[in-house]
Amino acid sequence: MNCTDILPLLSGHLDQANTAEEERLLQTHLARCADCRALLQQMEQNDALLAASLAEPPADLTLRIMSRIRGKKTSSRPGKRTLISWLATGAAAALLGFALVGEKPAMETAATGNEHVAISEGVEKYAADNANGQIIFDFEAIEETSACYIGNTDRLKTRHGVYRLLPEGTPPFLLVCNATPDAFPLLEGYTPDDDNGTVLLPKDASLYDDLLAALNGGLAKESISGKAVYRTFIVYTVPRDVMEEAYSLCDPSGAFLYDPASLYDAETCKIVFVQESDTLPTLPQSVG
Amino acid sequence: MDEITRVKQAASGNADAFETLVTEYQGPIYNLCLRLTGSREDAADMAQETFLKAWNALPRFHFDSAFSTWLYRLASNTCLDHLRYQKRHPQSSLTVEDEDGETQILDIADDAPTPEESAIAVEERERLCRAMDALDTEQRQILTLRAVNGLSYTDIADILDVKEGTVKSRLARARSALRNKFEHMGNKSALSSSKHQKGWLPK
Repeated sequence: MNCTDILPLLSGHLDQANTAEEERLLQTHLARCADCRALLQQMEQNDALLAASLAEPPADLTLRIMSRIRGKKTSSRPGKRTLISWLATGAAAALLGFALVGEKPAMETAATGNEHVAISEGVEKYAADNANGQIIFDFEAIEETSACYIGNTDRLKTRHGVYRLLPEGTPPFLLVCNATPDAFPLLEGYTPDDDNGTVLLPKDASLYDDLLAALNGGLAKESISGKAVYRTFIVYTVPRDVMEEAYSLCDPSGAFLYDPASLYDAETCKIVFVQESDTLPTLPQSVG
Repeated sequence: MDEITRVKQAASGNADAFETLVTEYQGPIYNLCLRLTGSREDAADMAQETFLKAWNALPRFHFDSAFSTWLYRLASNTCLDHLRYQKRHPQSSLTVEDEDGETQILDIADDAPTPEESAIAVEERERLCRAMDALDTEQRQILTLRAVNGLSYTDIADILDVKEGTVKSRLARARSALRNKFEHMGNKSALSSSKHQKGWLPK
């Protein structure tokens, strides 16, 4: 094993998470690699420093929290901080609402027709080009949105009511992206925003830009290899009342991200789900 | 009284029961927030926000996971939201450039050293804090959950909603990245101190 391969085992060793075989491989490598021995020692030291750097919370933290909960106003927070905190919280709630995509209603109305066409054409093109491994779709169609909400459909199906809630006949807009694991590492590193196992990509987040760049760039033209992972982006456009109902059904145990305020004044909302499979996804029924 | 009972009581509106949970978890939650935000003030705000959210969401908490896991996830998400917001609306920065264009961290996320701590230990710890602050949020998050909060792979996987194998590989990358940043910080401080020494030399 080379030093790159051994890295996970160094970390696993610190956590006692290696199997006996992994530990044997590690020890064999360490016996002849001074660099990795030094690395392990430094990692060990860093872990120890981190563990030793525990800080005491402010003495009045519990009091502040409980004062708020018991309905008394806390007096210890300076006005500015409170305002910033409030703004931050409000923005977070707005950003992370399940509706994910608050669109300008007027733009939505105007854009819907084109959007259908664009995506339908993408899907048709995909079907047509499937034979030679070319996949083309139009991700621009959702670029107008302020944020893109990506979730794992299976989890939503089993754990939450939202997916099932989508009314019969809701047109699924399938955006197919053929991505080998190497070509599409972006989503692997995402951090779920809530208990749905979903990630919200604000438009100005680097991941969002990366995702768009990857999708609009070479990625969509990746050839299908034997071991391709197919990530299917399913975009639903739903009326606001559907999203509001979804809010009320959602298990909010991840946080209360289901504040109708996060819908802004949008009349329609867009949900993007991602499905992964190792076989070609089924194309949707006729769209629109 | 066991935790599940207290959680259930708190969920039904018993503030006293909730207070025992706040008292018990404020330390680890505050430290998680501290490492994620890099600032004591933000950490206190985010910890407070976490517990307020928890209080409101508790009636809908059904023990799908352990209470602690749920709380860590809540704190983690609260901090990430906050960091995203800060990134989009920079009002106050954690870092500032000095006259040499070097990025300096304004707020070292540590309490004042205790008298018995040696200067070297304090310096090392501060260097590590700066290295942590220089990591990606996700790396800081997973390292904190493991090395500061001491959570198991199973718990971390649950909090981050990934597989345990992913926890292992991400931790390896995070530890490696931390080590690189730590080394880098060392080199920078060595360079910077030699630069300052030159200033004292007679011209």
